[in-house]
Amino acid sequence: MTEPLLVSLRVVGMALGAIALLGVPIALYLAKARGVFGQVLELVVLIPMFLPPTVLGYFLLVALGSGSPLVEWLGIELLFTTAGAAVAATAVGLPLMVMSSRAAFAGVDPRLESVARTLGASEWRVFVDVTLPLARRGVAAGLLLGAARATGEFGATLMVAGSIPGRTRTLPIALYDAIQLGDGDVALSIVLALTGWSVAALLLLRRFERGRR
Amino acid sequence: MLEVEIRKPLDHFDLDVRFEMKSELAVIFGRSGAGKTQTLECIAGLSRPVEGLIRLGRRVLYRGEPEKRSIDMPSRLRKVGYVFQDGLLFPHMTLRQNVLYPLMRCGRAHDGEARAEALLRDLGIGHLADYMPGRVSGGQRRRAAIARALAGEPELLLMDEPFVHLDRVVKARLMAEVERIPNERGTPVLLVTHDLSVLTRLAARIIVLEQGQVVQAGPRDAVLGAPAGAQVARLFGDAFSYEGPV
Repeated sequence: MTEPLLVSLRVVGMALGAIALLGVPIALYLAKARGVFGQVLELVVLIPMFLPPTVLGYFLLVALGSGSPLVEWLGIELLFTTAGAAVAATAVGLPLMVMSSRAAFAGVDPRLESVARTLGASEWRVFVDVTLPLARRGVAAGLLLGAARATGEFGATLMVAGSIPGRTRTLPIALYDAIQLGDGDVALSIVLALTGWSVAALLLLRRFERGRR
Repeated sequence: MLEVEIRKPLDHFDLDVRFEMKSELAVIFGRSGAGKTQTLECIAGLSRPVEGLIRLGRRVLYRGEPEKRSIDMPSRLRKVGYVFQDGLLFPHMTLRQNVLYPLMRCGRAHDGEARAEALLRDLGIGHLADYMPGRVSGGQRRRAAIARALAGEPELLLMDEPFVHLDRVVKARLMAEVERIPNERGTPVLLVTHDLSVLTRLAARIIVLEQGQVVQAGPRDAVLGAPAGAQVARLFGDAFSYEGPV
């Protein structure tokens, strides 16, 4: 079980970094912006939450496949790599992060941001000193939800990254393989690990929500 | 000296405000929804007029003319302090951190602690420096908000209804503090209110606003002594109007 655990930690770690880096600015933009671009961006970011995982997997295969403009621009191969699995995990985790953070950013009194401006704060300082600290619980809850969802990602990951031991075989995929091979002990230990992590995430989330009230 | 001449369409009327003030305590007086707060926001750079001029001393804060490139200085560079209606302290910072905030932003963290301390003491809340805003009273929060606005050494202090929802004693004490600001610190104060007692107690200059227009402006005694018409007199209440045959 150690190998898939390490793969899962790497995949979720990479995905969490991407979710934070993409999710915070997108949520902030969606919390403040009105207009067509915001609506399109919202649709693109949130749609993986509603799509069947295999349909998402198909889209990711097209986007990450050889010859796609994205891969040529990045200059790295993503299909059947750890990074590819992280892309799939990011796609499913990002919507939860964006929804939770957007609500938190929208809940910050804009007059507090105005006060900071009159006190000499640049837009960046307004964000760092006022907006982010006041929205921190919602952002943290979003990261946690995103991480939980990214950990459990199965269908799209299998399609774009396969099940390569030590590279793309994450805990949920290793569980599926163990059941297929009739390896009950491995299956049970993975089930216990994932259930434990889910319960811990849920308890932590409840703490964030209590703090918000 | 502050020179304001701004135009801005609002929902129900057009804001078309023109007035001047010296280094004194001036009061914009008018009913709720007359455009008072909008005027303050334009001066602070939180809202943008469509055209006009806002000049503070020699600095042009805003200049907008049709078909010309406008000047619109960002809020953070205007040196205009703003005290919002309910104080509006940063709820995640202590009173001391709130007052330190503008000093950190203008790179004066080195002597900031002492200055913040002095301001809090001066406003009678030195003993509450390490309290969070949620743990102190409404009057104390407003004192801290005034200390915070003054910490950045603004060239003009704007105050939006700073005495609403305060009991009589707290309000009288806070009014005395505000009255001291132009005289002792040399910072002009432009205050918005619809409260006649604030007007009669504090104003050196009165600007009466109705439906986005300045209907009368001038030194306190001149305005209160000779309201420009029945409409303004009625705004000042019964003591200033007398009905009879003409």
